[in-house]
Amino acid sequence: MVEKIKLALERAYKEREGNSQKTVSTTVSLSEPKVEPQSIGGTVTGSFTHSLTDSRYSVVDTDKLARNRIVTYDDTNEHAESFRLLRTQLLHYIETAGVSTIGITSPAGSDGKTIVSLNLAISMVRSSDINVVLVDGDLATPSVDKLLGLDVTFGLVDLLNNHVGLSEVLQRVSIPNLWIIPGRREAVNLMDKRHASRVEELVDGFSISDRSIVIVDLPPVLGRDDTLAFTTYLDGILLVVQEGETKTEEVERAMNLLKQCNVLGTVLNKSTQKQSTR
Amino acid sequence: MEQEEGLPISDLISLLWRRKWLFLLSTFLLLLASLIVVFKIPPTYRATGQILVEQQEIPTQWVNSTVASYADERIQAIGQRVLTTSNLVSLIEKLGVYNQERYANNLSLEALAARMRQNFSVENVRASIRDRNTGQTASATVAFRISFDHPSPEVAQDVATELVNLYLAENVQSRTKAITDTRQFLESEADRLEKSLAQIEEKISVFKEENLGALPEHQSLNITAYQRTEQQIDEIDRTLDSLGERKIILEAGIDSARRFLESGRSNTDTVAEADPRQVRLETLESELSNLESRYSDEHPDVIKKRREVAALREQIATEPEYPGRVDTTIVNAVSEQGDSSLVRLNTELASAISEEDSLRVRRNDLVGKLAELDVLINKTPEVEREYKSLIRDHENTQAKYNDIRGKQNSARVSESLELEQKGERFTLLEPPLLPEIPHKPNRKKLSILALGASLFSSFGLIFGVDWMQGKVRSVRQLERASGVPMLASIGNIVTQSDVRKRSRRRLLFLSLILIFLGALAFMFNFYEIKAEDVNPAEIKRFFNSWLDKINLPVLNRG
Repeated sequence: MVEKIKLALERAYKEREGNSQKTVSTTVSLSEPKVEPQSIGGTVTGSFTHSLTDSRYSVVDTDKLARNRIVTYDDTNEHAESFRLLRTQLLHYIETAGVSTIGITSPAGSDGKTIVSLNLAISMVRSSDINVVLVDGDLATPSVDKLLGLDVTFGLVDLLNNHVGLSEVLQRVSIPNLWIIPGRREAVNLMDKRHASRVEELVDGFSISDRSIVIVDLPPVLGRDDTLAFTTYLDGILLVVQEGETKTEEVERAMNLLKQCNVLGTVLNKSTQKQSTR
Repeated sequence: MEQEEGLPISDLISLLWRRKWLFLLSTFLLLLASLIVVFKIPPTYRATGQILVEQQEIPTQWVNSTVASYADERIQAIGQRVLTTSNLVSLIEKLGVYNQERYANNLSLEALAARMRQNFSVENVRASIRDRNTGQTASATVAFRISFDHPSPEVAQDVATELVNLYLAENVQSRTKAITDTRQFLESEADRLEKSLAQIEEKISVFKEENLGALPEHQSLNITAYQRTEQQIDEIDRTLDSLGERKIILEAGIDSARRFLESGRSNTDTVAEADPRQVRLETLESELSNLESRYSDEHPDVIKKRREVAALREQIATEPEYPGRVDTTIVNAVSEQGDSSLVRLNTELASAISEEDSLRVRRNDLVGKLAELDVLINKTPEVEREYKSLIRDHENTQAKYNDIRGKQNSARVSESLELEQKGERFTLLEPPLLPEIPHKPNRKKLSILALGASLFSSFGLIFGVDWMQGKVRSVRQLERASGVPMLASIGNIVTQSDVRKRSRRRLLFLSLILIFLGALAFMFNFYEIKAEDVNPAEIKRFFNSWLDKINLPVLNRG
């Protein structure tokens, strides 16, 4: 196993050294595409050392986003403020604690992890010049592509299995600074240790740019052992809890499982409570 | 962050809002069920009779009743006597009180009597009364109410009337009995004391007889007699002394006279003829001493004899010469003279001796008497003690007897007081009337209670459901469970299709409620269905059928 990882790593380094001008690499730099036909507002700033030539690009439909409860592209939306608050706090962590990779998970399924992840990612790219890579880490049931309406040829699984290079997996949408690594539906695979080390590798690669943040949409903590393999390599974890749905006992169990990780905090979803003023 | 533990009001309100449908449904069903129960409870009627406790009319300072118990106590006691099983059973049979239960459920008469006791109640009407003598306020029973509860107002009235009558009759009976008992007791006590008095008196008289003379009241008499006897003895002793002296003188006289005569005779042989008077004197004197020995000095015979003796001595002294023998010789004369004095002396001596003898006898008598008196005087203290105790007994018994006699008199007065109905008595103030409004149940009160209970238990239900689910409901809960701060709370993101769906469901539900209410109103108004006639099973069925059709959000949850 260890041998295999070593081999993979070596190959990766070779690739990087040998084909530094090529786009297929584990180390990826993010840059704006030249053409941006349907940019959804917001100013684009920042400088990028590398350019991405073979990145896939999709135009997102705002109506579709609205139907899928993605609201942060619209600053006037009542919920955008909540996400802005979350984003500000996370940016604080990013600046002060060196957090650049954030996993978003929940105790059990269907708590709105993906919606929170997407909204948060959009909220982040819209407010500053940071690049955000949103990784659909739920290998079994990916859903980011569905919410955004992406066509997926290669997904995270393929990247982890070293079938393809990052540039073939990485997708762009008509929201500036937002990069997506979607999941591939057909490849129903759970993560194992081998994948995990690859993740580490990937994460390291993303971190080259100091103005980029990786948000991983993780599977639920409880009932799945692959989530924990992922979380080890992430700088911070956000636990999404759905009010009136998630049990307190589940929260406790999830926290117990995540005690090795840096859990930054929780997000109360579908809340009837007033917005916390913290 | 809220630091306080427990549920803040806002949490409760949000809980109520979250579970409003379950809450409303549960309240409605519980209320309905409890209202049906409330209106299904059969009515119970209470008939009440009031009896006045009338105080004695004649002031108690003058006449006291011999019935000593207080009115409260007596009401209790009478109650016990009235509510005997046999009394109640006879009432049950006479009035058919529990006929339905008796024949339908086959209950024993004892069980029915017990039930009757439960349905019966006595309530004392108390009033605060100021005692005229002591000035203290005390609570006294001025009247009491006898009630009987029964599903049928008529039966309730009948039974209450019977019970009231029983109470009144029992009171008179018990009072009369109390009086008779008192009187009988006093009579027997008086008899007993009379007998014991007689016994003591008998004892005293026997004792007196036995200790005659030694009784305390004879003491002073005895002492006087003792002193007098002593004096008499002293006197006799003195007389005896003088008599002794006289005897000696006389004997000396006789001696010298005899000597003189001896010498004379030797001179003359002639023996002088004795003087007849002297002989006569000697005879008289012997007779006198004889009398004196027998009688006292004052005795007439003695006096008479003395006078005779004295007269004769006078004659002999004045006429020394015996007239018949004038011409006798001097020798003869001297001899005669000596002879006569000798005789005289002898006679005197004999008389002195006889007197001494009689005195000695008398002295002995007196000494004997003195000894007797001494014994009596010494015995007196002992006798006195015994005698006094007897007297004391007598006095005590006499006092008791007098007391009982006095009480007997007042008992007699009290008896006539009771018999003439002048004492404390029970008067029927208000006979049991036919009750028109059920005494129980108080449906209005119970309904309000049912509403309160339904609301409360429904709240408990939703609270319990929430608690059982154990879901995250608040920031506080979340932070407590996770141990990390909540960074953001995101409201429910509502899409247009959500809004459409919700409004459709709301419309459907509203219309269903309207239809249901309309149907209910229709039922109650047009068919005048009384709440008592509503069958709970039907309601349940009706609801269940509707609940299936209405997609109540409460049933969809969880």
